[in-house]
Amino acid sequence: MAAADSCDGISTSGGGWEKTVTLVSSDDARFEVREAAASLSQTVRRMIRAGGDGGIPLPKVDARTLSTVLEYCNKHAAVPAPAPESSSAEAAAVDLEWFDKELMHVDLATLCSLIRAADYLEVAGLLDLTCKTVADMIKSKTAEEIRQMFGIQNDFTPEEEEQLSRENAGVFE
Amino acid sequence: MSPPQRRSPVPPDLMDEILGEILLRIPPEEPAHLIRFALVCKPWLRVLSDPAFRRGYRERHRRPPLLGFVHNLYENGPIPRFVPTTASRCSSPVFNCQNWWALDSRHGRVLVNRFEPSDLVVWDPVSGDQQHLPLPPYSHAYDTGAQRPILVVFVGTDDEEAVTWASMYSSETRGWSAIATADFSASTMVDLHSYIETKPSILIGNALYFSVELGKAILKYDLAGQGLSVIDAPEVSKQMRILMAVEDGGLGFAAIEAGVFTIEIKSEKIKKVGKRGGCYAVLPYMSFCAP
Repeated sequence: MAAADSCDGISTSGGGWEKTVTLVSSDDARFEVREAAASLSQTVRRMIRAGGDGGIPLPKVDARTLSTVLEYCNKHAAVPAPAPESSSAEAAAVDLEWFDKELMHVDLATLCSLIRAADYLEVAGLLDLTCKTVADMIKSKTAEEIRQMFGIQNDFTPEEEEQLSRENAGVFE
Repeated sequence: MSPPQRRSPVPPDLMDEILGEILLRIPPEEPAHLIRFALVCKPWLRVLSDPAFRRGYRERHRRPPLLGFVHNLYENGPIPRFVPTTASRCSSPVFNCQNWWALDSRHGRVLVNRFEPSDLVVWDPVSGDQQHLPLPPYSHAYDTGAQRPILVVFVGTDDEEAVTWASMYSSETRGWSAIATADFSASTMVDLHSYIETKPSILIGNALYFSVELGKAILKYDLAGQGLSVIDAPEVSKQMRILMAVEDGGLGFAAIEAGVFTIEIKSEKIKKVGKRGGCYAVLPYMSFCAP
């Protein structure tokens, strides 16, 4: 099923062998990753199925961003299937939540690069996590505060701005 | 704990790619957030007012938030008919008539009975749209429920003929259906002269349920078969003041003498959203509100 040239084998802590794949970032850095972790990306999963030589190229993701994405995938792929209501499942969920929170401790530009990468790679959990983090950061901010955060120019004329405010009178009081 | 922020402007082309995904995850409970974002710049306004974005937003969040409630009471002067529970664009409407009565609220719309001139109005408090339709051409004393295409079910009792009937209006045919009548002969609780209460109906599956005479019985209107049937209620409390539970769980809504309250079913968290209760019919209004 997997492409022969992009698969190697590495020893796992349990002594068994786990299939790995090699991912190549836009700046030509190579990452050897467990297939189970890489498959959290639907895009990579499709490329593994399609097969190919010399690793899987990901031209839209740079090495720095990819390494964070893979950190997320490695952690989340390691979690065993949840046995609900067991105390170990609960502890694993708490641990994962803590991990996610820590992973989001990056600056806004990095977060935005992660969103684009998660979107392109189709890592649903990471896309949700990163977008929600930014959504939480901006949800209580004024338009001007948001412009400053993202370095956005206000391109409304004063008349347009006034009309928008008028249409939404009652909301901005 | 908020992530450390460095002044690192995000490249505009990157922002264009990811903006929709971020805005989709703004929680709907405070519509003011999304509306305020429309003022950031034109690209943000474009994303927010794109019908595809609105569709995606509704699909993602599924359960629309409570934006306010409509009530039907005048006491010591007029009381606002639409009472907002959060900052949104909704406000009391102008119907150009002597008086009006809100009959039901569903799918982001409120059904209103206008008096002098008298007709029915399907009102969308978010957009302000009003669609007027004629009352059914049958003798009646009451009520309803509404969808897309707009379906309005009107249930009435005719005292002289001693008949309870229902008719359905469709915005597609722009007319009322032939009447279906209810058979009360099997009921031990109510008879042909029982009245239907002017309280909101409840939609479960493909049927609307109306309360008959202090809840002694329930009138069921089957939207598919367009048939009307009577179900006796097992027991009746005359003091019953709790008006309705919001459909598909989540948030309950109650109007009692002490005030108007919402109850989060899961956490049992109670929040007071209105000062005066005891109103005959208080209709919770839920909808998504985007710029």
